[in-house]
Amino acid sequence: MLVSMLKIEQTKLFRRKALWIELALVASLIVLLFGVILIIQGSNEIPDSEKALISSTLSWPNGIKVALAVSSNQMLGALLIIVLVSMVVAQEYTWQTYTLAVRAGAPRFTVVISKFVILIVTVFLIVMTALVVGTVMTGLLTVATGGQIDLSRYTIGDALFSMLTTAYSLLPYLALTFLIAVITRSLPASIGVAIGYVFIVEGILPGLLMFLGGLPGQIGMMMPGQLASVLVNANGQSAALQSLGESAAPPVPYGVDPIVAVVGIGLYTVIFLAVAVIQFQKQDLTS
Amino acid sequence: MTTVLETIHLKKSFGDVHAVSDVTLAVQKGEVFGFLGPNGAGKTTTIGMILGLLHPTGGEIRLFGEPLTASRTGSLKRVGAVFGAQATLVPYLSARDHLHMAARLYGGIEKARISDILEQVGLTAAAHRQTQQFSTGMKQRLGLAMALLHRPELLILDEPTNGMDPEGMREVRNLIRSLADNGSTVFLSSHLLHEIEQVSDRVAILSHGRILAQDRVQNLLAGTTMVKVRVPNMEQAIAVLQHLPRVVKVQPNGTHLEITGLPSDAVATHLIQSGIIPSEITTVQNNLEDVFLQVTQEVA
Repeated sequence: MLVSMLKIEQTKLFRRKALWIELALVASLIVLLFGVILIIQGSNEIPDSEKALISSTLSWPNGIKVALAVSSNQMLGALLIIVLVSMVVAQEYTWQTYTLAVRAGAPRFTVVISKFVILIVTVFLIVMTALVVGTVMTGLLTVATGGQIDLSRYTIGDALFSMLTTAYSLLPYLALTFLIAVITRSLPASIGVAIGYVFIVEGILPGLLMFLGGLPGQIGMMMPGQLASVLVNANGQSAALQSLGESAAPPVPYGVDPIVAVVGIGLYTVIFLAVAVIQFQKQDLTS
Repeated sequence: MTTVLETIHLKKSFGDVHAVSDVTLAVQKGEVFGFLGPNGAGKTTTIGMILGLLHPTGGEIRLFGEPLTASRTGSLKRVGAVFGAQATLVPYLSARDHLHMAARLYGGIEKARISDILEQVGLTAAAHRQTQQFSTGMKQRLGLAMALLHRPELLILDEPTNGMDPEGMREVRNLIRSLADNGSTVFLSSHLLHEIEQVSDRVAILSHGRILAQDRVQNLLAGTTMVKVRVPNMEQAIAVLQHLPRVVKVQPNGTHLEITGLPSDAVATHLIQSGIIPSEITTVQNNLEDVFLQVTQEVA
């Protein structure tokens, strides 16, 4: 039944315009970023030293990291995940389409898990789009600025690892939005609460807690956004972004060990998902 | 007779509100079972529980002899359903996509069956259109197609003709009858009483979350034939008729007296023997609507 449900979820996801719009948005933003850099390269008003710095930031292989950062929690990633997950989960309450599977005898656990699994695929698609477009644009920029594409400096293994860690760092946002959408059963409420969490709770609270130090500081470091930042930092994406003058990356003055971040993110994801599953099991799907 | 669907003292409460207080019914194989009740009687809640969409507070549901619980929903695969005022559809998918989805859910459905069922419900021409472009009637037809796709042994229909034109409604009635004639069992909930009367073998009347009556349609209608008489002295006629055996009700209604439980010849004989000469006698055959109103008003 899980395989059937996954295929159904795949059909529903891939026919959604919102998915393709989001992927196009990621690709467009990266192309735009590199396009602006190329225009700057051709400008006579920018000093050569600055041109060299910018082109080195976006040339092989650093440009790939910058492109990946676009899809991370520090830039567009979390926002795109929140919107898409809210749509995929909450809208089906409005359409009452969960009832189709449940009244066909599909266990509710299978229904909810298959939706979560297909949303993980979505996360990977977003990150993969950034990786592919970023790799192509980095290659073009490197060649255009007379640089060299040295494949030994960024192997397929590096690319896969970067993609995996970036996607993994987005999982708590996926699971939290999933939980909020299951609880609220409303698209606007789900998007609103999840974005509110990202901007208000994660934007303010960790800094405040870390300022206090001690136990509050440690709690602040263990919040999902901080743990995700630890992984992104370990990838070198934050450094690449900061060298471009991006301030989106929150500073992690005394972040936890990346292994702790991996475990923490996994725990957050499992806890949010478990609560969502329990809630879905109990729900009245007749209205 | 094999019992296909059985609910035993089924209950569902939402806080202090008892949506379903006590529903015990049994649907036999091959029959069309009508499920009647005024708005808010608990019909949708009962069907929701039967379909596993919400969990009962108490009581038991048995499908094909197996108990239906949160962890045992396998028997639902043998059920097809049209549920809710409007068919539940993904707006950006086509009719054919929906049937492919349903085929995956139920399994073992050959491709040709999808084309056949589209033709059966008259949606072949619209098979590739997104359902958001469908009219309410077309959505209902697609909902019906999805319910019938896997040739279910039990078909549960909640307001299946909602939004359909008269021709579509007649087609659905004919379809329901032909399904029953071919051995399928149909559980039909509708507010259209004449629709239920036309196709059902047995009905249950639900009010305030309780089953008030459950019987064969002809049994419910039997004894509800009403005789209307016009007499010069109504009080005297009431006094003569109301204590006679078999009389269910004697009630004045405007210029007429309405008598339930006695045939017209018996009414005339008793009145004439008492010296009351009726100037007019008519017999009125009650329908399910009258029975329904009578039963539900008695409770109210």
